[in-house]
Amino acid sequence: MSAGERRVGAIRVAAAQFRVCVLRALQYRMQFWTEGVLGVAWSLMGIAPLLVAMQYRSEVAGWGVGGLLVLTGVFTIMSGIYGAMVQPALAESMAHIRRGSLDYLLLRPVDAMVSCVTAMYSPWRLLEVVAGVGLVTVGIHREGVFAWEGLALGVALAFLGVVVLYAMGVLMLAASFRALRLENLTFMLEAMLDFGRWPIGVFRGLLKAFFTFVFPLAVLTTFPAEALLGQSRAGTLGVAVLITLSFMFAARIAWNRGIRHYTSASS
Amino acid sequence: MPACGTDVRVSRPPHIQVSGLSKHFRVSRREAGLVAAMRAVFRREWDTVRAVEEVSFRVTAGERVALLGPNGAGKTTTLKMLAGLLHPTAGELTVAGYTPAAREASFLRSIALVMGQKRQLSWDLPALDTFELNRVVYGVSHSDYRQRLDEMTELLDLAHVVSRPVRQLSLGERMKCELVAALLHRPKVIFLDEPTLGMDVTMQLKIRHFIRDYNERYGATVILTSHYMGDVAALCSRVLLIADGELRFDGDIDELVKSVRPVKRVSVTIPDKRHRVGMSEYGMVVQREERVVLDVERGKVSDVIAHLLSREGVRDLEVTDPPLEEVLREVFERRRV
Amino acid sequence: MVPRVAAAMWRFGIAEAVAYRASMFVWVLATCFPLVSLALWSYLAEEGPIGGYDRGGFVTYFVAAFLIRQLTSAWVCWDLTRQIRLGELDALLLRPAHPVLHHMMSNFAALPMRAFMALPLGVGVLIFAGGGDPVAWGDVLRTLPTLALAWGIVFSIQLAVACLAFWLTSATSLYEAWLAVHLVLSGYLLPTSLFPERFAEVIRVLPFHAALGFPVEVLTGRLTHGAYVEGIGLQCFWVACFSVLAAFSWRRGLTRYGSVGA
Repeated sequence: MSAGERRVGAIRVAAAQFRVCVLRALQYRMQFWTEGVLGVAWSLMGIAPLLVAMQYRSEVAGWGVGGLLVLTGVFTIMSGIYGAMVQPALAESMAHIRRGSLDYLLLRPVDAMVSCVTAMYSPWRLLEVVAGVGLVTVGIHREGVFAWEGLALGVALAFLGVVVLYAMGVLMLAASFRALRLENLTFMLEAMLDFGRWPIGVFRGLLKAFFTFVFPLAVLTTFPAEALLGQSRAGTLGVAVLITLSFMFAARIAWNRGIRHYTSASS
Repeated sequence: MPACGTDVRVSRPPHIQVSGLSKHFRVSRREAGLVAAMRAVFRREWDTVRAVEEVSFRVTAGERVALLGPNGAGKTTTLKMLAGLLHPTAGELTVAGYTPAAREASFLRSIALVMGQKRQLSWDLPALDTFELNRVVYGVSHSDYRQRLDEMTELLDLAHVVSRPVRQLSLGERMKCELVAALLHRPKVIFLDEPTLGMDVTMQLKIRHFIRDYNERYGATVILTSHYMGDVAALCSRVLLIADGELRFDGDIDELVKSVRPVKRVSVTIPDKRHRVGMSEYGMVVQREERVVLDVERGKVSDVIAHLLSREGVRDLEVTDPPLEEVLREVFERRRV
Repeated sequence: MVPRVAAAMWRFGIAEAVAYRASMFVWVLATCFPLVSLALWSYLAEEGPIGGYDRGGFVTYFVAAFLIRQLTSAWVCWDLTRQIRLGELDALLLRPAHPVLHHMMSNFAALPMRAFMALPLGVGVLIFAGGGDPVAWGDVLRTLPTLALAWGIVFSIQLAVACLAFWLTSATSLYEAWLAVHLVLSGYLLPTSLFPERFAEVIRVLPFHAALGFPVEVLTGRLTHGAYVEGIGLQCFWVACFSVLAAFSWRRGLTRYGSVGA
């Protein structure tokens, strides 16, 4: 298959899997509450500290109320995408690895990595994305800084953020080829994402560098939020693209190593 | 009237007494489709499932009894009621003098339930750890525990198995450990739910032998449910046939076979087709190929054998009981025996 | 008899905790939100103290909140609902020992291991953050009874919610909803004294604060003796309330389990 055909195949696989999960989600309507509404509640509860902080300080690291709303909105969108698309696929793939049924995925005429990252969706958690968009809208309106360039840049940076999320997921999957009991790692990753609720300026020195390059929360939340508020600094897009590409590269290498280890180790 | 040899049983007091036992479940009716689902939000309709209906029987101490029946017949439900896990909807039930549903500690200490599908052993720990916990929970003294554990480990060949994590064991090894865990406190009544499910023949034989041996040594009453005729044939002389929640037959297997299908199965090899004529005058022809199989009335068996042996081209004559599966199928299709 | 059975269950729980140590470590890491909060509040306190907390105060508060949450956590809600749903409860019911005792001892047995994993993390954060307000030994002693009571509140609430699994299919989501409210109002995300005054007055009598914020404030020495006694009384009240509720739900639930089965 040519590279172009393989790429189209990936999208088709993802779309087919998503459709199946949507049908299932419509059957289990209870999950609207248990996954959808609850997910929104968990995301929004993180706004409490910021609201309280606003009582004592007029701004946080240069971000006013409107800006913090936008930031929380972007975080909520990212959290929703992680919970709806990345985490379910990872959990399902790790379960396959543990049970030894990954072989069925590997036998498909589709790139194994694509099969794994599209293995499962939880559509109701996309409600968080809706809530996030709402927050962003309110925040932008409050600051009164709407601009089409800002929106375009923000969306582009958010897209890069999603790619980084997937790359981190693939890195975790590659690690789980060697150590089987790592399903909880997906929850740990979700917990670490909470650091992205605050503007990156809250962190200093080593920690700031860590959260920009090693665990790129800056790319995930701060950069898109800045762009939407029209406060992007020059070169942000370049830095984001660089970080995203390195993560994609590292993830692919780790995946190849991991798969080789898996196929040569299983009997 | 269910046939049962009551004479032997009345002489000893019953260890287990069941009369008019019934268990009904209310399940909500759920249909497919969006309209039905929405309607169900406002108005629920209920159906009653009669899992067990008016079952009565008596078991004396030390007996081995099998509950047989097709899937969903009510065997496991009956067993769970005997163990006190389910409350009966109607009827009376006494096990070893206790009312199971009251779940008194001394009752629980005198029974054991082993379910083939569900385990009580902790998955990641060696079986020994669960044994030790059970030892304290059931109040078994150190010396008794040691002695019983050694005895059963040797009988079941578990020396190296009990100290490995349970998840590393094969199905047969796990089942053996489950049995040990259940018997450490020397229960007086043992309930077994599909004990040899999914095992290979060798393992099935070992487990059946162990249970039979245990019963003969310690006089524990054994009630088991099973699909496998082998379990029943090897372990129990008495069967209770349950279908659709009702007790269809209670008594000896051989009697059952005799009353339902009072025939013997005669099979013989006749390679030449020409010599295979006139088979139907001996009895009902089950199979007419190179191996001819006939069901012959019991009284006529010796005559038929003599006739067959005097024919040409006949060899490998065999006389057996009709297969239990066929007999049972016939029982379950009729309303009453 | 019961103490011996409890001791055996405790030993069993220790063995299981050791077998599950890898999973447990990841869970300790996944419940580190106080450290996330610390990042924000220590930044905000740089220009000056907020609501009685300076930078050092926040460091001590959030490290204490992290550790105390580890030491007072329970997971009986998830375990029991799974056992009810899959019929695994049968095995526990067949034993002549109370299933809840088994859950309690399993919980206790795992806490030392959690502490063992969480303490280095807490100390590490303390050092990395450049130290916090010192903690007095007297306060540590006074915190111990509050920890036991806090655990009692958490356990009995989880038990009461888990009993709903006898009737509902997703009792755990109800607990997760409770947990979301709990995290905001208990002093886990931020000290409850920082909330607007009227609001803070109300939430400081609720069980959420009693299960976490109160022990943390005792440990960091922020309460007068009178407030300490009041707080202990409040904790006792909530433990009693939820224990009664749990006992009632358990009895009703068991009857239903017996009539409906797994």
